[in-house]
Amino acid sequence: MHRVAYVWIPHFVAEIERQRLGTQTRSLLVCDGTRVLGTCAQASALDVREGDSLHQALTRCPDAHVIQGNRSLYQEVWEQILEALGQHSPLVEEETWGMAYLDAGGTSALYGSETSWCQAVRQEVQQSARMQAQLGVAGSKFTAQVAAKSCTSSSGYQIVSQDDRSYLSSLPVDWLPLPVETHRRLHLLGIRTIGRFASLPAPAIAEQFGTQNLQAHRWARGKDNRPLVGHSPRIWEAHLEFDVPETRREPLLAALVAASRQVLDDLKRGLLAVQRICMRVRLFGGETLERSTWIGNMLGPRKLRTVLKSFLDSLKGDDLGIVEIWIRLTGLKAWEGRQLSLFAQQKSHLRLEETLRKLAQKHSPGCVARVCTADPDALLVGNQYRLAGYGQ
Amino acid sequence: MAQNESRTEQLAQTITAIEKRWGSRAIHKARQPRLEVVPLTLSTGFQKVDQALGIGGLPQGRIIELIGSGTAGQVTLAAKTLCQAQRAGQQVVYVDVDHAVDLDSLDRCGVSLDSLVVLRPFSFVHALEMTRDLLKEGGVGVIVLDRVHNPRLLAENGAFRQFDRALREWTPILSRSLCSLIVLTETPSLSLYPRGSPLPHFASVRLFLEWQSWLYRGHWLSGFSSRVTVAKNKTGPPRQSVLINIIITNHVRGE
Repeated sequence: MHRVAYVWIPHFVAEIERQRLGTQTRSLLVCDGTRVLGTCAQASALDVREGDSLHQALTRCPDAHVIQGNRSLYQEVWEQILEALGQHSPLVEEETWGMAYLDAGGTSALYGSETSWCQAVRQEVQQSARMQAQLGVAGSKFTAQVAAKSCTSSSGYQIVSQDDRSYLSSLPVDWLPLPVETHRRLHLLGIRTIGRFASLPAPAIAEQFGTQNLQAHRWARGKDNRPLVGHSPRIWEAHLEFDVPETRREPLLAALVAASRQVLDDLKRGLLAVQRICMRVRLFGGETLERSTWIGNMLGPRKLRTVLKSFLDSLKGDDLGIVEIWIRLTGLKAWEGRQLSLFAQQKSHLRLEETLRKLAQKHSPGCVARVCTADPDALLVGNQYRLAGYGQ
Repeated sequence: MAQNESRTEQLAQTITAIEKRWGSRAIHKARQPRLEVVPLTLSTGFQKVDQALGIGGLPQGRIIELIGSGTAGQVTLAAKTLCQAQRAGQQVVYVDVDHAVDLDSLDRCGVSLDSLVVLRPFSFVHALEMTRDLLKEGGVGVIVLDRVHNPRLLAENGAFRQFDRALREWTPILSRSLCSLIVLTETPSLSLYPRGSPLPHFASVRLFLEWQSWLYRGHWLSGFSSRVTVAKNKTGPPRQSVLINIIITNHVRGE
């Protein structure tokens, strides 16, 4: 039986910031530049939405505490949650921060019932990120999403046991992703529930409201055939064990680099970026230490060596014998590349280029310098680069 | 009645025109609740400094002055701020008045050299002119002006008068464009600060950096500690003082 679960963490970004700042009382707006990136429940109640301009948001919610968002932190927390969810489902498809679909088929056999599975998933999210998730389990993606978001019970999950169409039929039509104009016309026509909308014939929908509404009409009838697309494995691990406790850092580093060589080749071949590197060591006395760092980019041999060396250097004392080491690379994903990152900031980049061109024209091309590669293999970074005048 | 309506409409148009030209904070109705505008901040990369500033970092769209002598950590603090700005997707420019920018140390602080623009003016006055052009054209998030030194010579040349005029002109442009200007001033102590410099008046935040001690790891010199005192802060509490450790290995690390 095809079962899909939807995990939703309300106000994901604001919750992370609340945990970081330790404030609960004031309403919170997390912004990215001059746009709102995330809001808390109080701000949402005042109709502040993600993507609103900061000025607009402050007009609606004047008492809000505004802070600049940290995208890499949110991505990191979200990666941890996805990893935790992956322990309870074979397929995890992320939608955006705080929202993911899981394959919930066959969970009853493993966990006893879907209820216990939901409880286990919620507990996992609570443990990994100290956040409350809402779950909806149904036969299709859309119904699962509606079930999760409309869940009002204290349990935090809703399991749709009947067929999707009959569950959706009594819900307001506002749940459907329709254009504003269509919603307005449906209200004028007195069509207030999804059931009433689903009972309309498809050709009439296409004729009256346009073909773009047919997908929502199919979903209203419980015919959401979108498949679950799981992501590729995001974790790579290596484990080294030493018969004699190793105290020397250089051989340890060499062993770690050798163990990672294969994965580096794979990463390079697949153009994969790494989000985080974790190292866990067990010392001779039985003590376990853990070090981790955020990378968020391609990982080359030199960079990996530097990171591992800094991990080993940060271990207190030089006389501690290491018995076991685990290396873990998490968050493997397609590298966006420089070209794409340029496109992301294309507007400001183009504006700066125009400014520099004018400056070079007015003053002198030699006065406006860019950093160019001189000798990429030079040991000192100062020798790897040189300054070149604009347009030279 | 109709006359009243037309006047109200005219007033609304006037308010809209003022807001459009001077910004939304320029005018507000007496009964309308005043918006609490928290200034957007730029992290310095040093948690202690961010906390001491009271708003979580340096304010955007303002003039910031970093005062100190050599080996006080001025360039490190500026470079770390540039790095944070680049991470936030902003374009950064380094105005190298002395033609002495150290790319190696900038790279160690995490600045992406690929997207760094360095302006190399012929003199301090030329630097002011280039910075003015840069600000007028826009597109920049953070500018570092490295550096104001040899104050006696600058005062004799009348450079401070031009600097005063320039800062007077730049302040509204910076505020509108949310571009931060970080000026490095070299002086061994606050009591020897050059007289006649307009920066104490125009800077919203002034940080005084003072070298404290060398840091060792075993027998090896690994960095230095520096005291950062908030000499002026228009956006938060002043007179805060924190001790920061600047650890120099393959990457410069701030604690």
